[in-house]
Amino acid sequence: MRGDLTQLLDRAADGDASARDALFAEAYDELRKLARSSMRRESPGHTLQPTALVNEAYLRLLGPDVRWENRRHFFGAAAQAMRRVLVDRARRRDADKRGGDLERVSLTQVDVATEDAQVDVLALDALLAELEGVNPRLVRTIELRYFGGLDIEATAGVLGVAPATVKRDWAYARAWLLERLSG
Amino acid sequence: MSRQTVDEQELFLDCLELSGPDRAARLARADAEVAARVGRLLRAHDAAAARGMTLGSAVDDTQSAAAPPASIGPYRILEALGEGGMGEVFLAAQEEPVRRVVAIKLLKPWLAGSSLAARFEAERQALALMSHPGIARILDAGRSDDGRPYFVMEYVPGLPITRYCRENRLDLPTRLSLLRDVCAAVQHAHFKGVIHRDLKPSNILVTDIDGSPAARVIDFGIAKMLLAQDEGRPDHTRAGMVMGTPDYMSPEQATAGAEDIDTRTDVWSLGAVLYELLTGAPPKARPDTADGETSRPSRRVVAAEDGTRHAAECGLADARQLARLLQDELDWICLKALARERGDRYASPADLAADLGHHLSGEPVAARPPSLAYSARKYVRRHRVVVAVGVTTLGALVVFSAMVSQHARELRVERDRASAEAALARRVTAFTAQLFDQASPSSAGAAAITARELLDAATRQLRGRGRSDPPDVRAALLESVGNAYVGLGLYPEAEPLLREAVTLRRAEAADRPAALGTSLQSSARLALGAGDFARAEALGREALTVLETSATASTAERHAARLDLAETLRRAGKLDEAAALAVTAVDVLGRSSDAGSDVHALALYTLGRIRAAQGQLDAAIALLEQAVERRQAMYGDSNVWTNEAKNGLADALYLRGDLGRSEGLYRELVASNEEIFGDDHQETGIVLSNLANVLGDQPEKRAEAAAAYRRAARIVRARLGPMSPETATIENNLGSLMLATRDWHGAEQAYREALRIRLVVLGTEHPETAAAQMGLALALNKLGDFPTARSLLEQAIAVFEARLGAAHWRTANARRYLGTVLTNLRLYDDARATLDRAHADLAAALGPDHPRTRSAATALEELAAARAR
Repeated sequence: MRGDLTQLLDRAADGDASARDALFAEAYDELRKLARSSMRRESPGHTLQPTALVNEAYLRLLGPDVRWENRRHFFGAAAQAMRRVLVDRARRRDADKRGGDLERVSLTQVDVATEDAQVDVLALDALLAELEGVNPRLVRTIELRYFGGLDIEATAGVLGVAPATVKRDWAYARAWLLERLSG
Repeated sequence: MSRQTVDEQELFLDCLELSGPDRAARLARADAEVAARVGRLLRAHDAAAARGMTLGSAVDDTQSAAAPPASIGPYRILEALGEGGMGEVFLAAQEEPVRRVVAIKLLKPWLAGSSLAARFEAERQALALMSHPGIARILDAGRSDDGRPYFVMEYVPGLPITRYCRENRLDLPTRLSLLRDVCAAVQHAHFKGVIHRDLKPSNILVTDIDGSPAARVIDFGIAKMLLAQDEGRPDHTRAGMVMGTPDYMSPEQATAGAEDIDTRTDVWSLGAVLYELLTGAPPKARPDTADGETSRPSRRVVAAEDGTRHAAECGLADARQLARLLQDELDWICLKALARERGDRYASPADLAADLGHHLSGEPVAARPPSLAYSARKYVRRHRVVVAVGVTTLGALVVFSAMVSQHARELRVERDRASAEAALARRVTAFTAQLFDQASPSSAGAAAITARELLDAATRQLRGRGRSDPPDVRAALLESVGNAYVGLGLYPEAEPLLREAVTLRRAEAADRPAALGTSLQSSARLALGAGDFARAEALGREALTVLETSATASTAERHAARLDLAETLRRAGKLDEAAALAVTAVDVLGRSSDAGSDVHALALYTLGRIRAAQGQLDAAIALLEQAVERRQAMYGDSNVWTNEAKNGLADALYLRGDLGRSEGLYRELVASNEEIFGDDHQETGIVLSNLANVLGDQPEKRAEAAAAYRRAARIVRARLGPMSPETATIENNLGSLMLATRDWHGAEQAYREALRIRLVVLGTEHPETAAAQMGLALALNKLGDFPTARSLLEQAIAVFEARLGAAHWRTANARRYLGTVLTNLRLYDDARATLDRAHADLAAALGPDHPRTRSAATALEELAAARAR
């Protein structure tokens, strides 16, 4: 693992907000690079795999030998960064003349499923922004579960709450998103 | 968070638990606007659930949104069960050849072709390796229509173990025996080389089988194959475990990452599950464990708010009653399984299971309360400030000492109450270890001879009792007794003890590699003493490897192992490698802080011995003189280690022809060994034999020499048996003396005995075997069998040349005798060439005036005389 990242993680663990921002920036850069190369490798129409990308970014940036505490902070930042990467890409596509070619993301990890298990990232992002004003913890939960690919227990670990709480938040947030996305 | 959302979320969650009319009634009681919103949320939720998702079951939270395929291969999909790191799990029906319900794990679509697919395959292989009632069996494997690999498992319709115990209000004994079954399943996996790495309640499912609970371990999705070929490849194969569940994650998983995981990681996780079964919560996620120490289950249940509820779930009246049942043994078992240091944990799930069994059947458990040393370490950690002050001023130091002793007293009181038996066991251990040390000749002097009885008694004790000792304690006891036996020359008695010690040390090798190295060294010394050079060499090499690669072994320990191996190689006749090892040790130690230490003296001694064997006698004598001086300074004059060096020096002096000095040293050694070991110890016998060598080279002392050999042979045969290398050496020496006293038949007999033993013990290619052949040849030469004598000498010369070098004095000496035999065969030209070369080489190696050089000159004169006739 890179030395400056170790420091960032340590500082983030101490509650240093600027370190958390720097961590987010690092994760964002890496995820964007990975997303780009992933799209190059794959056929057109290929959907991004947020979980795989976050895991790959994790292994590339940190390597396998990282303390649990530090992993928490990385995943917290990486899940948010992944959301940004997807939204940025969707916006660019939207601005593209060809239009209508929305970035489609496999939503297998999250139960906000439409018929083809795909969701409009921008719509999802807008809903999350709306939810942010109502209950930020629900948004963090969605980010970690969906963009970070974490399970209930791991999400609880990152957020520092009981698994039962994540489970309840998740059930509610999922229904909340489903209702608005299908509406 | 707005009040409104909270209401909405609460109402939504409440309603999820309810169905139909109950749900409608609940909504009707709520605020109309909130009820309308929640109604929409519930419909959205139910619509998703209708596509194969149900909320509220144990596996709901990992469900896939993708509509499950209608079938996978020949299996008809019934519903989605959940989702692991890499795969989706479905419940499916099999129609042919048997009709049954199975679970199918299918690789996630986007992972097909990725490196994680290999991980998926690894899980399938891991499952296929295992066959245990406690592990879900794999039934089939294949590829789906869209090319994704899948495998079919036995369906386990169970509940997570913690939930099952809770809902069925299982009592403590039932919980313990259930966990014991889980341990057996995990042990089976370990036996097959599979570490689970993600043991947690949701991966241990319990079902009712014939009215009694049966546990099954599932999800080997991040299991590690101990013997897999792709080990260590730094790819994404670990991505699945990037985020394990912290509550059940061992300290090394949480801190060290995936590289340094072994089977004891699973032991920790089993301990965490046990902890939760006993206390109602996993060990880590407690506010009272903020400092990283796990609180005892008995304390935890009385301290926790939910202690009484949990006690009720265990079928008990209150938390205090539960605490009483947990106190001591179950506390210790939990803490041992959950030890931060792996070496302090149970070595295997089987050991944890065994201790649970001990507790259930009322036998003493192996787990012990934290030791005084351990508590003292913790004390120092907690009082670091005081320690820091303590070293600055004497006054503070005194205060600190008083605090420590007070604390120690408290601990002692607590410990004695908790386990008087354990404390007693420790005292007995310390006492007997001390006895054993005294019994070893190196510190006990003449009293050692009576140690045999003590050792036999100790061995009986170790065989009967002591199985419950912790492995490291038992290994230490076994080594003490075994080494003491070796010291007494009682090799067969030592063998089983040291072998068991090595086995125990091996099990703990990851944490105490230095202890394994030392244990292997003990076994190597035993093998060397018993004359099994091949075994001694193999053990010595392993000991060296273990210590070289150990981070904790000291320089001195590593070089001691290197020197032990060099000594073994010297005795086995592999002189070049032996010399290389010893030179390294002398160089490194001489320049290190260990210069002048006992290991440095050992290095000088060992290299001196090797140089002597190589025929570099001046170098040998210089090294051995240093070794004697250092050991005299360190240990005194009449001491086994000083004697060992003196013996080496006397041998080298003898070989150089310095008979006077050599004889003086040998006489000192005989007297000293009689004093230290007794009259009939093999060390006395060996030194007597050496003295006899020097005496035998002086014609006026041959009678004394013969007596010394006879006594030596008697002692060594009695001690070491008829097939020991030492017996062969004395027979060889005796043959030599018989030659000197012109007893040709006696010489033939002695040399044939020496050769017989050496052919078995040392093999055909060993210089000492060649030496016996040479002696036999000399006797046969005198008895008139020249062709056999010539053949034996030619064989011997070939071995000497190969092993010692063409110009070595022993090669030259053999050549000198071949010259004589050739003379007797009347092959004068061959004899002349052979003797000229022998004389030149001997003069170069030993000097022109050495008896052997002069003997070669005499042979040349005899040849000239024979020719003249």
